[in-house]
Parts: sequence; C-alpha cells; structure tokens
Amino acid sequence: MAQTSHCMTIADDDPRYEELRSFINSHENKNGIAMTALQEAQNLFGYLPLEVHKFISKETGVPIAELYGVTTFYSQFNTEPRGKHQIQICMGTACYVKGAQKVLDKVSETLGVGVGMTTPDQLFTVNAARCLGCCGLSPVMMIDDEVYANLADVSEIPAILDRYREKAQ
Amino acid sequence: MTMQQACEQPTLGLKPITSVDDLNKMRDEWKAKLEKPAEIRVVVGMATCGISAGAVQVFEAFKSELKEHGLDHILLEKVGCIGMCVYEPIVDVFETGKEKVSYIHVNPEKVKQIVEQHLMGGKVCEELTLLQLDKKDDRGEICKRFEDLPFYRKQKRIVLHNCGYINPEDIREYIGVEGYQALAKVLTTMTPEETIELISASKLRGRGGAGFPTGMKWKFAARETADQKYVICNADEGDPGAFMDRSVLEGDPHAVLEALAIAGYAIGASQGWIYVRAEYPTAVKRLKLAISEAKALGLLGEKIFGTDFNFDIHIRLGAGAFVCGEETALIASIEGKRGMPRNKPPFPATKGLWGKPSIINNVETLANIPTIIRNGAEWFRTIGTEGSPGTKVFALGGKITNTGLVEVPMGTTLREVIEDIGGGCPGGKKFKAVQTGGPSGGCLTYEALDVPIDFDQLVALGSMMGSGGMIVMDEDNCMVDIARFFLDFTVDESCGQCVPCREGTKRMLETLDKITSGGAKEKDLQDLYDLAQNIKLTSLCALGQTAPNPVLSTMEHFMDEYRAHVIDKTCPSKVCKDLLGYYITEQCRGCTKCSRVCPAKAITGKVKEQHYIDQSLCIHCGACFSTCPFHAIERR
Amino acid sequence: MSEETKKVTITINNRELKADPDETVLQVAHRSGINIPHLCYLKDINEIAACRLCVAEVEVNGRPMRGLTATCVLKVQDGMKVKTNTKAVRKAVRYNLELILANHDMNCPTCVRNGTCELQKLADERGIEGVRFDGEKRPKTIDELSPSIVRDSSKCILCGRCVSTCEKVQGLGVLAFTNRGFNTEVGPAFNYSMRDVNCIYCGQCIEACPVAALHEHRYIEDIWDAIDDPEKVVIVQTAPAVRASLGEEFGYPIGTPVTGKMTAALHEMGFDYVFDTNFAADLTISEEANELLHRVTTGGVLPMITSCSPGWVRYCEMYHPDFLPNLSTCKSPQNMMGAIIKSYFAKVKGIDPKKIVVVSVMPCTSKKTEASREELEVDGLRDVDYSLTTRELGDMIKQAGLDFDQLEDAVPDSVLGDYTGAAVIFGTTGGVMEAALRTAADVLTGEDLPSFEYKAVRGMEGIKQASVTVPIGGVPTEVKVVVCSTVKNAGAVLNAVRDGKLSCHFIEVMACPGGCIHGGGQSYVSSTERMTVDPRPARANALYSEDERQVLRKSHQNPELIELIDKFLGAPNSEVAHKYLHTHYHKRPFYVQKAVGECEE
Repeated sequence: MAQTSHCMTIADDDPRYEELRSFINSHENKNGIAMTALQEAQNLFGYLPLEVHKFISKETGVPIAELYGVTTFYSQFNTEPRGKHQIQICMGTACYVKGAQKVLDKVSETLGVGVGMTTPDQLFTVNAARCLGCCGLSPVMMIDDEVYANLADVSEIPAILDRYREKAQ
Repeated sequence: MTMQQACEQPTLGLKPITSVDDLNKMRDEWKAKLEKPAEIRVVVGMATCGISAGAVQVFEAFKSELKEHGLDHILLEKVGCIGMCVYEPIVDVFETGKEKVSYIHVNPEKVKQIVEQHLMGGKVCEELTLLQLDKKDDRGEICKRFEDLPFYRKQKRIVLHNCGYINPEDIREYIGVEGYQALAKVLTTMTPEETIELISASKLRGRGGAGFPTGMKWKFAARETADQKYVICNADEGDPGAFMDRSVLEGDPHAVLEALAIAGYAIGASQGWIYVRAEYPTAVKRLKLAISEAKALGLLGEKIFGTDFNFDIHIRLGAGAFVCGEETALIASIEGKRGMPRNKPPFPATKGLWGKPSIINNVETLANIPTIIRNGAEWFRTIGTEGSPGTKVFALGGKITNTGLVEVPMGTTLREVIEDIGGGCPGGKKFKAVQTGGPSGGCLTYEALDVPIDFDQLVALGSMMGSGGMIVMDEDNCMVDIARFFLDFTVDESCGQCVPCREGTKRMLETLDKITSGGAKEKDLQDLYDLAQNIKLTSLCALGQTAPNPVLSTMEHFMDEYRAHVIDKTCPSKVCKDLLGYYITEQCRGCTKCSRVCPAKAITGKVKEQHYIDQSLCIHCGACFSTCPFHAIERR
Repeated sequence: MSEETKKVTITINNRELKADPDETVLQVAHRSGINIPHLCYLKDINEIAACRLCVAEVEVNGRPMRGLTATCVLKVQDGMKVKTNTKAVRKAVRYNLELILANHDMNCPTCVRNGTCELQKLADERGIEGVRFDGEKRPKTIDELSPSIVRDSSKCILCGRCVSTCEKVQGLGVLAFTNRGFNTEVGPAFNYSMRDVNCIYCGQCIEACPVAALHEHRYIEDIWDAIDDPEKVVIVQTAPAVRASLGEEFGYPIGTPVTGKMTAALHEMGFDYVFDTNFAADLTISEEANELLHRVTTGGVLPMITSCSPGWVRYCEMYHPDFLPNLSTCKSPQNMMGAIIKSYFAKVKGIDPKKIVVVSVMPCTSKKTEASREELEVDGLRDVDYSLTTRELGDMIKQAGLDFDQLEDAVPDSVLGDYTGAAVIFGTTGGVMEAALRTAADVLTGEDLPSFEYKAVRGMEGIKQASVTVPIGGVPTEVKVVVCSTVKNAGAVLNAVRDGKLSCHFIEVMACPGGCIHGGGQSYVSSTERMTVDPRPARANALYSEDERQVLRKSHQNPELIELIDKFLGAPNSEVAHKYLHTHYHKRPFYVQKAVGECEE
C-alpha cells in the first residue's frame, strides 16, 4: 500500500509549537477547538504535516485520524508545503460563464501544473477558488492578495506570471 | 494593496452606554455629523470589490494628498459596497447644502485632481463623475448621480441601506443611523414573546434558501427549555456568484450583531455565533472590530442597557466547504468537526449546537430584523408580495451589462431586474436564461421574465430563491455545459456522507461528461433524469436534495440542446469543445500563424496559400482560432 | 398516567402499531416483523442516516414529509403513517443499492464475507440483477501490513459503523472519514497502515463492518500447509470464549456452547494434539494470584492490573506508559500455553520443539499481533506461531468437509488437557477476577472455601467495583477490586487512580465490551440481529453454565496443572516460571515518523 513518507521538516523544538500551544490554551472552552487549532497551525506553519496533527492531538485530545479527517474535509487546509505565490482562479458562476475555464487552462498550460499542484520551483500553487466575490470584474484571478480582473483575453496571463518569476530571481 | 491594509484598529476610548438616553445622545450627535457635515466628507467604497479594483491605493492617496495640503478638517472615511461593481473604485463627496458627487473608476492620479480641483477649488471634476459615461435615464436625461441610473431607481434598499453610507469601522456612525435602537426597544419595552410576535407578524422569511418563516423558527426554539441556547448567524455564503452577505458584513456589520442580540433575547439565548467564510478576510476583520466596539460600549456583554439581558458573540471561520451553508453541517463545523449534515428531524431548534436549542439565520435575514423592529411589522408587509414581504438582494452577474448587487422589493419581475436594472445582455447578444439559487436552483427562460419573483413563484417555476445569485446567460452559453458546471460543483462540494449525493451526483456528472463529449446514447437521457429524481427524493440534506435541480430544469427547458448533443453530436452554442470542429475558410491568407501555434501539428499548408486542418489530429484546443488575425477559422 | 396512555399509535403499511414515544420507526417495524433494509445503522452506535436504504413514505398529521424519509432516526409520533413497500420506495432502495454497488469491488464469490455480507444479502433480497452505472471507482488501498487487521478500501461502502464503533466503544478514533465527497475514504490519518497507528486491534470495527472492508488477517492456508507437512507437529489450543460463539458459524443460536463438537472437529481436521487454552488460564491464575499476593505482602506496585488482553496491553503501552509497572508480568494464557507446549509438553512427549507449530484459536484479532510480539519467545522459539479467529476456525471446519452437527463430543488431549470452571469464565468480563479471587481466597485461608462465586464482578457493565475481605498475614484485610471492559473505560479507571480518586488492589481489564465473548474474532452478528439481541449475556451464560457443570471450579485444583508445577515449574513465580511464563512491556509510540536520513529525495 502507498504510505506517504513524511519527512521531518519541522523541528520538535520549533518555537511555533509554543505559540500554537498558547493559542489553544487561550481558549477557555476547548469544545470544538480542533478546527480553529488547525487553522491557527496552518497560519503558523503554512501547512499541516503529520507532526503538527500529532501535536494538536496531544494538546486537544482529539484523535489524529479525526483531525486528519477535518483537514482533508475543508479545501483550505493542505498537508504539503505550498508555493511561494498562491494563484486563485475564480471559478464562481459569474466568472465561469465569462470564460474562467480558459483562464484556468491558460495558467495550467503556462506553468505546466494542474489545480492543487505546486510548480517544481515551488514558486506557484494553482488553486481553483469558488467565488472571490469580485463578480463585477469577472473573470478574475488572484495572486496572493493581488487581483487581476477582466481576464477574458487570456493572452495577458503569461506576462503576469513572468513578472513574479522575474521578481523571484 | 492587500486586504489587510483595509482595516484599522479603533482607538475609541468611549464611555459605555448604559441607558437608552445614552444611546439617543450619541445618535443625535452622529446623525448630525452624517447628515450635515460641518466640513466636506469624502468616502471611499472599500468592500472587497472596491479593494480588488484598487480602492486601498485610492484611500491612501487621499490620505497623503489631504495631509500634504493641510486639509485636516476634511473627513476621509471608508464605507462598504454601494453595489455598482463595474464602476469601482468609487468615491463619494458629501457637502452640506450641496448634492452628493460620485466619482467612478478613481485611481491615485485622479485623486490628486479631485483634491486640488474639487476639494480645494470647489469645482466638481465632472469628467470623472458618471457624466463620463454619457448615460441617459428612461426620460432621456443624462444621469449625473447613481440615483439617476435605472440601476438604482427600481431598487429599494432596506438591507443594503447603510452600505456605502456609513463607515463600518465606526460604531458611532451606525448609532447615528438609528443603530441599536431596535435592541434598546425590545430590551426595555417588549417581552421576548412580543418580539417573536412582531417578527412573525412581519412574515419575514429566511433569505438563505428555502424561505422558512423566521418568526416560526424563533418560536420553536423559544418554547424549548434548556440551560443554554444559541443563536447562530450563517455567514458561510458559498453560492458561487452570490456576495450579498459579504457586502452586508463589510458595509454594515453592526446590523447583524444587533439582530443576533435581538434574536438571543427573543429565544432566551445568551450566546451568539457567527460562522463566516475565511475567504472573506475584510468581512471577518470588520466583524471582529464591530464586536469589540460593541463590547466596549456595553451593547454586547452583561446587563445591556441596564437590563438583565446578557449577550456575547463569537466568531468561527469556515475553511472552504460549501456544504457548511447547510445549517446542521454548519453546526458540526462550529463544533470543530467535518461539516457533515445531520438528519432532520430533530431540527436545530430542539437539538442544535452542542445538542442545545439553536436558531440559524442568514446574514440578509438578520439585517432585516432591526429595521422591522423599529418600523413595525405592518410597514414591512407593505413592501413586497403578500406571501413574501420585504426586499431581496440579488447578485447580478454573468452576461449582463450592470453586474452588481441589487435590492428590489419581492414581486419585481425578472424582466425589470435583468433589463431595466441590469441593462440586458451586453454586445447585443440574445438573452437565453437566468440561473437563480446557485447550484441548488434552476434556470428560468424568456417565458418566466414577467413573473413577479418571490419564494413561492420561483419554486413553482422549478427554481428557488437560494441566497440570491442571479446569473444571466446569453446565446453563447451552452445549457448542458452550465448544468455540467453546477454538477461539477456539487460533486466537489458533496460532503460524502449519504449515498445518493456522494455516489449519485458523480454518476450524473459522468453522464453529463458523456453528453458533452459526444459519447452519450438516448437512453442516457432517461437514466440521467431518473437518477436525478432519486437523488432529490432520498438525499439526507438540502445540498443533495437540490443538487439535481440545475440538470432537471435545463432538461425541462432546453431538451433540444441535450438532444443536439446526444443525437446530432453538436453543441448548438459552440461551447463543448469535443463536439466542435475547426475549419479554415477562404479568408485564409496563408500567414502560417495557425500551423505554428497548433500543439497537435494538425494544420498544414504552404505560405500564402489556404491552410488545412486534419480533423483526425485536431484536439479542439482552439489555439488556431484565437491566433488567426484574419478570422479565417470557424467553429462548427 | 398509565403505561398504555404513554404509547403512541402509528401505522406501518396499513398495520396499526403501538410504540413507545422514544422508539424509531425502524425499531417498531423490525419488532413487528416488517423488514426495512439498512446498512449504515448499528443500534446505539451508528445512527447517521447515510445509506438511505431505510427510506419510506411518511405522513405526519396528515401531511406527507418531503421526499422519502430515513426511518432509522425517525422517532415515532402519534398518528404517523409509514409506507415501506410502495413503488417509489422500492425504486429508491434499488437505486441507492445500485449506487453503492457501482463503487464496490463486486468479487463476491472470492470475498471473505461471501455469505455473511450484509450488502450481498440486501442485493439478493432486492433482486439486483445488474448495476447500471459503470464509472470511476475509488482508488483501491489494501493494507495488509498488520498481522491483525486488513483494510480493503475497494470493499468499503462508507457506512461509518467502524468509525463510530472505534470512537464510541473504545474512545480511540483510529479510523475516520477522510477527504470529501466522492473521494471520501475511511482510514487512519495520512493513509498510514493499521500496523503503525494507535490501533489496539480489538477488531470491534470488523464486527461492525457490514462488508469485507475490514477483516482479520487470515492464516488459514498456512495452517493447512503445516498440517499437511509430515515434519511438523501441529498443536492447537482454543480460548475459553470460542466455544460460546463457534456454533453461530453453523447456525446454532447465539450462546450455544459447543466445546465437545469443537474439540472433535479439531481432531478430525488433522491437528496432532488438541488442547484447551483453559489449561493455561488456570496456570495464569496460579501465577497471577501469587504475583498479586506477593505485591500486596511486599509493598509492590499496586493496583496490579491483568495483562491477558493484548488490546488492553497495547493501549496501556501507547497511552498510559506510567502504569506499565502495574501490569501483571504474566503472559496471557495464549502465550503461556504456547511456551509450555514447546517446553514441558515437548519434553514429556519427546518431541523436538522446533518441529512444533502452535496454533491458537481466539475470539480475538489482537492475539494475532500479540503472537508476533518480539519478546514472546523462549530460547528462540515463538510461543505461538499462528493465531486464528473463531470465524477462521468455522471456515476451516467447513473446508474440511465436516458436518458440525453430526460430530460426537470429544475431549482435549492429555498432559495439558484438564481445566477448571474458573478457567472457562476467563472469556467474559469479570471472569479473570472471579477466578483469581477463588484461588487467592483459598490460598490465604488455607481452606477449600465452599462459597466462591463472586457475582458482584459479573454482568455487562463497563466498570464494576467490589471488595472482599480475606486474611492477609492473619489480619482480615479488605481487598478492593475493579473490573472494566473496553479501553475507554480502562482509561477512565486509570485516570481516576492517577488522580487519587480511586484506590484498589487489583484491576481486571478486557479490551472488548463484555470481554472476550464479544471479541473482534467472534462470529458476526448482523446489525439486524443486534436490534433485538445483545450477544454478550447469551455467550457469557454459555461460559457460566459450563463453569457450573465442572467438578473442579478453582484453578489451583487442576490436577494436570498441579503436576506441571510439581514436575517442571517447581512453584508459582519460580525462576523457571519466570523464564517461560512472564514477560515485560515497553512504551509504544504510534504514527512514528521516518528518520531524517530515510527521507532523501
């Protein structure tokens, strides 16, 4: 069977664990803390590897598998490290009817990776977003916090992505 | 520009409000400030859509320009969304005794001009206002203000009333527009029973989906006895294409807090929860800020207005699961679990959050509450239809000229919304259908355009209100593809718990894939229909029960399109690429561009001679089509 | 108000039925002889209404409920009208069954659950002749790394019974729903193997599983191979609880004791020697009772806790390592038996112990992992080579072509064949405690006490407390004992002991609810049967009745045991006894990361 190998990428004495512990302990009522703790952990570590699940399990008493069930239920959680830049292509209805699929295809084609994947240089992770709430500007793509609007003409996309590549060099 | 920059921490240091008198004093002071500003008041629309269009830079530019010119007396404020996404960033200038001036498509350069010419020189920069669009209203007069536009004239703003007017990051401005008066009224002059009676009499129905009477929901929870009860605000707006809740939270967060407190008083709960999408960072920040302000003023917390009523509000963030908009899934998610719905009954009113009686109302429903309490049930019933009083906010999107948020009285026809307010399909394209209710709803066609819309009418037409997404489609949209799009969404968002939804929607999607790729047989259409009916009939929660609606309603109205895909193997709207062939016409000049971009090397031809596409090699990517400078490639 | 007026009246398929207000429609229908199909429902454990097979047309107050309603969670209401056999219902059940089957590995004839599968049974009853969907299936994961439990995702129907069982019964949460929608799976985190996670292998999940998504790691072929091998001396031992359930494999009512037939079958199948683990149970008591007395009189670590349940031992190693010194160092009866067979018995019979293959038949899946524990061997010889479940034995008897019903009762072979009534009751919660008290009381008083039934420790409650007064060093002393079953309850007891809220001398823990009689290796009891029958008291009674039929009912009175001590061990807890019969424990981490060096990419 396939058992993912998980490398120790976060040291046991990483100070962020202490931060996470005090976050969890700051909640008087531990009822329902699991998801909030995972959210905070993802803020701190950027992703949720096994060792973070183990830590939260120990602090909250929620079994590891149950935590993992929560992690894999919600699309915002990820168990693998992500790219430096998060590309969110809005696939909301308003964007879809105005050509969001083409935007997604173009981004995938340009970067050579599909939805949910990270480029080999760890620069970009491509995500399909449900609705970014900028329906008036559709179709829309967001890179980190930056919004790129009215992308019906997808030929602009490679140049946009190139700018991030240049910045990284 | 970042979303983070859009919010700032308040430094209020105000004296708590412990009586209605205190509240009235503050109201009078701030009412005057808003209505008759002693100095000029400049407001920048800073909801997500505005921010996306560059409103933060505009705000910062104003700040530095005003500082540079020593214009400290001018009041610069951020406000929520006024609903006209296409014109963002939008800046309004208020001056006592003068008409409001609205600037559109503002950027930092234009800010400089506005500050120097208008704010300092007193001369309106007309070319930066609506006038630049040269729009005429239905009487043929040029529109100068938003209010002149047909987009606004047919609207009635109750829910969105304060959005775009008050600063959502300053509780005093909310108090200045009668904020917290409704809470004061119920706490000091009404019993919980009377409060519920008033809401019941208003016939307010839940804006989040099926339109369940709000008063009845409250009554069910109120009659339960329990040591703890909860009121929950469902702000997990997940319909792709609907963003009215976000707009309310970003533009008028205190209305939601006030309503939650009123609901808490009515059912006997001292705890409120707001479950809000994490994808709405601005809304979350403003909510948190609003809660801390309300607590600081004593409008949340213990002994509110000196009464025995205590009420506290907590926020829980969603993490990207559409199903959490379903109330029992939302409860599971607040409890920190996978957002898997629970079978009803028991309903949350008897067994909800942590097993305690709970009510769940959505943002738009709650935003109606304070106004109803202040103005009375009868007033509310004068708006809208008899069965569905009040207004409804729609997020108008898709193939429509004026995309944005519109609030209209129930009973307005689709035609008024789409043609008068929305300005019809752009580019002279022919209207084909409008999808309401998101992935749970259905599509309505030309024939339905003159039906007055309310909860019951939409259901009768085979769709539903949902949260109010309204996506317009024109002749270029393939309805099978649209149905496939929604199914793809539900398959992805199904929680995976019950069999019909988890397994059935996937099989429906596979059938639709077969149809749109030309592999389906006629029998597949009947199987698809039967399967859809079964999912509707037997799914555990509303997500599954309504998931087949987009397919069933497109099958009802556009069977000819389905049959074209299945029998003729063509896509009449030329969307489904597996069914399209690309052909080079005589317009070809032999420039060779197409053969160079073709990834499948399917195009051959000599320079300056007509090229040819080998259909057996073509992968239908459309690269040649969009590259050809002579429009010599056609799809058919 | 009389009982009768509290009842409500409902109508199911035109039949008027009286019901308690807290009953569900499914329960009322079932006890009234109306079958409603169901797959995810497991009484008191899994009530999530997910399979949508128990749907019906329901009318309340004259108004039809929307769509079809799941009856497993629908509480009755006065005047409710339910229809379970309409065209719409039949069609819906068929559709949903087909949808389940479309994503199920339908190799029924080659499946371990062929014949006991609840899905197969329903498909048969509903006349499913074909499945009209042929799309994608979930990716297949078959995890066979654990010696105890195999997880096969291609069989899983995502009913969630195992998830709820692990969480509610054991409080462990080893299994969870992961991913979402069509990609939903049930398994441990990060797709880890059952071998490497916080599983105690109690197998309650297997008992709950309606299909073969979770089943024991089977060793039947290895056993046949060993039997066929003329070089091997294959010796089988059967645990006390097996006899209370094996009959169910052959259609006997739950709780029919079949000791004699079982022994006969084992002889016929070709095992060279047939023993009863009961002998080792008596031996365990002899060792354990003496260990307890030793601890009490010498100020050793107390409370002492039993160690015969391997699921419990593993739990203690994983979650409460601070209590490891409290665990009795006695091996479990399974391993004591194996160690004695390969030493004393081999010597007596003049057999080369290397040629001996010890097979145990256990009501348990955790015993398989216990048998593989590194330290459970003596002089390089494994105590136990293979451990089978009751179900595997049932299958082997069928494979051997034996008509179980016609077998004449037989008795175990000599030298290690005797056992007392005290050993038989080892198979139920409280049984080890009662057996130990019978011996301890006699040893301390130096008498053969006529009153030796300790009913306070009997019964199916999860945690039981009792105290007995016995003379220790001539002083009448109150000995406090606690008996618990399930590790969830054990955890609660340990926490109470650690916090000083509970003090006692001796704790018996069995990992399965009700003890071994309800172990994860016992015969399947379907969810439908579980609605009306609790298999535990019936199986426990089978053991108590056999106890009552025994002449000797105290472990220390077992004649062959006395001979063993006399000829081989010298005395209880002697040096020889320690070599063969005692063991040690260690802290056991789970979900252990691979070392950094192993992660080069």
